Amino acid sequence: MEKLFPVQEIGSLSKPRWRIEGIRRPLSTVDVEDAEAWADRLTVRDFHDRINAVLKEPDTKNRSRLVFQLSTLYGLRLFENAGLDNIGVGGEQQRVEMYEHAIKAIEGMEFLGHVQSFDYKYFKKAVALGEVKRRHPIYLQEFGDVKENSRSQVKVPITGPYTLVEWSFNEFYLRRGSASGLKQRKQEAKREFLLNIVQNVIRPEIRDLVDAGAKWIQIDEPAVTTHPEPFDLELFVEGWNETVRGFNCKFSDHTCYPSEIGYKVLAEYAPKLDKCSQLALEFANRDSARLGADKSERVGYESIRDFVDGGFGGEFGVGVVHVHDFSGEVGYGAGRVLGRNIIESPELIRDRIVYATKLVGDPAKVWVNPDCGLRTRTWETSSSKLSNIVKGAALAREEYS
Amino acid sequence: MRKLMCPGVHLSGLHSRSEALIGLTRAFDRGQVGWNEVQERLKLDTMQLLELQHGLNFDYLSDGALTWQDPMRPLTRSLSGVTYGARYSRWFDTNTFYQKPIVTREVGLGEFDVDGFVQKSISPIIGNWKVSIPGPFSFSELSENEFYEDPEELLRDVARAERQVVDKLVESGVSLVQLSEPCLVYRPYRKKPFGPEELDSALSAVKIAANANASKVIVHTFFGDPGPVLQELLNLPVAGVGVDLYETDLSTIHGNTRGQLVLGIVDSRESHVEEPDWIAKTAKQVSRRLEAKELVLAPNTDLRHVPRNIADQKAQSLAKASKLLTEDWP
Repeated sequence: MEKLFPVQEIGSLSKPRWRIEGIRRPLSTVDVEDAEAWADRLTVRDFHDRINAVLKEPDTKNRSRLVFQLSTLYGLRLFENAGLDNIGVGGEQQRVEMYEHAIKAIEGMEFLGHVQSFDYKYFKKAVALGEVKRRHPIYLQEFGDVKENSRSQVKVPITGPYTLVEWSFNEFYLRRGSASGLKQRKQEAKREFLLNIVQNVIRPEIRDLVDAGAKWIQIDEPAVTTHPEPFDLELFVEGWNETVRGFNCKFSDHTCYPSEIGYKVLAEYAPKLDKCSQLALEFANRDSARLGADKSERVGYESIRDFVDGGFGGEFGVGVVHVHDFSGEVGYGAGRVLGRNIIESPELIRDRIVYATKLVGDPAKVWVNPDCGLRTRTWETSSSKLSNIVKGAALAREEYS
Repeated sequence: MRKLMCPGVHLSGLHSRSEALIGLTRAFDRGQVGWNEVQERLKLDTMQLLELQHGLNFDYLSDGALTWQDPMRPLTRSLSGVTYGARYSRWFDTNTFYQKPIVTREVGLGEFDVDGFVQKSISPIIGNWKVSIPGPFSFSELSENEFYEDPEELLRDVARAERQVVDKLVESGVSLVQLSEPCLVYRPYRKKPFGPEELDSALSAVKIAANANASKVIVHTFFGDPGPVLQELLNLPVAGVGVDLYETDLSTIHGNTRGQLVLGIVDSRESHVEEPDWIAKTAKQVSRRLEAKELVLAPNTDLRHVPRNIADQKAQSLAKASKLLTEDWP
């Protein structure tokens, strides 16, 4: 019998200062000291050779490459040391962020500027000004570095085509539209844009990754629940099925933070996703921080029922820790609050896994992970959360032994 | 009667911050610059926006609400019985988020500070000021209710409190208050359609909020097709009603109003800047189906969804289209 409740990472880790600064200018003493301190903690054995190479490299582009490699190695070791079973690509250290990194590689797209997300948080938004095509591989180099250094199972998270389209402006395809109504014209343009991204960008990328040895690709589609309308959900399914068509590889979807309507609509359409072996979803964010493996405490996990009742038969990647600021109350034994973070206890994580498993109905179909990438937490916090997930999964396993 | 040939132009809600202001607010968030620097830039951005509107002869001036963190925040802060936590919710089907108001006790007017709503004193420009706030129905729908057993009571109390906010804004010299009511038209998939009673309650709440200042209030809808409730909206005793043409099925729509019809005719969610010719032509087509005493050209929703330079270009296109309509109307 395979190990129950394997633990996986789900996305990005924060980037250390030396990773951010090191691709812009030579590293300072402070940066090197910080990198060295973490090298000791993460047992990066060849740290001194690697950092010396970075320090001696006069060419910015070559230095950046060395910094990327080192940072990726740190991410992998952080996940491995925490005891994860699948370590992804080491926390996406080589990507600016999920949208910008992909868009930069697409011909026909141009960044226009920033728009507000909330408060003083913004995202850089691009527009399709011409037919989209992949300019160069997006994730291939990172995957090569991961393969060379990983000691555990890996998967490659990629930003899904629906999200890339949803987060972009669409002038080129709108201009080509012929529908008479304004809404219909936008929908027609969105479909054409999406299918072009799938065909000309995402499929060539997956082909390269599979040829390079990728066995599992996680398609990140956080935008899919933004428009809970049949047109958009059908478009998402069409794009997904075209994306995965013909590839011999495991595919999973990661979606998080849906609109008020929740996961209901995604649950209705999930069974239509070809080759979707796993849905990795955020739940802890909407759950209570009290112990207990019954419905009253585990309210955040209820929507798993919608997926099961809707006929999705694959695995679930169950989000068991919160990845943003926390300001609620924590019940006895459920964890502790450190600054703006909650560090969920292994017991709380166990209870979440046990309740989610009841709803899924088959423990072999349950993976566990953070709700989303941990990029807004420090490495210290991320390590604590991940270690506790591993401990929580072990406690849950005892319940099923 | 003012003829259709001279349509007014408004902005709606939150305008975009400039790249310079964005850079400063991000730096402030990281503790790299002080608030004074941000404030100076905020002032400059606001003045530039006011000068733009003034130069384009807009009927009403909006300060762009550049200090607002989301469309709900100033109203939330001015009501008693409403608090807020760290929970952010998605703003309809956009990629933006708002801090969810939490209703913890009876809602009333709390501490009202007009500067929280509009930066009138920032510029020497004298004009008719317009402020956009969420309408009572949308505010109630988008809040988390932890106090009222009957949601209708919540809606009524929010409407009464908002009436006082509207009164105070008008007393402070605001000429036009937009009650933004996207929830009247946004009916996502699988959500039940409005029943007559629910619609009646929602519209009654709007009437309460507008009350004595109805001639200085417009109700703007966006993110959804107003078709199913349009005639009821147009019958509201307010100065005007707004619709989002990018969500409206124009082939079936018809109605008439004795007030203003605000056409959300430039798309705040796309970077493409609409040609003035196209705006004018489309406005004419719509006006054949929707009769109104006055026509107003506006963005369909807050222009904050596009970068600042594009938002400003869209404002210019609206003004040019208004001019074209004035010259060309048969």
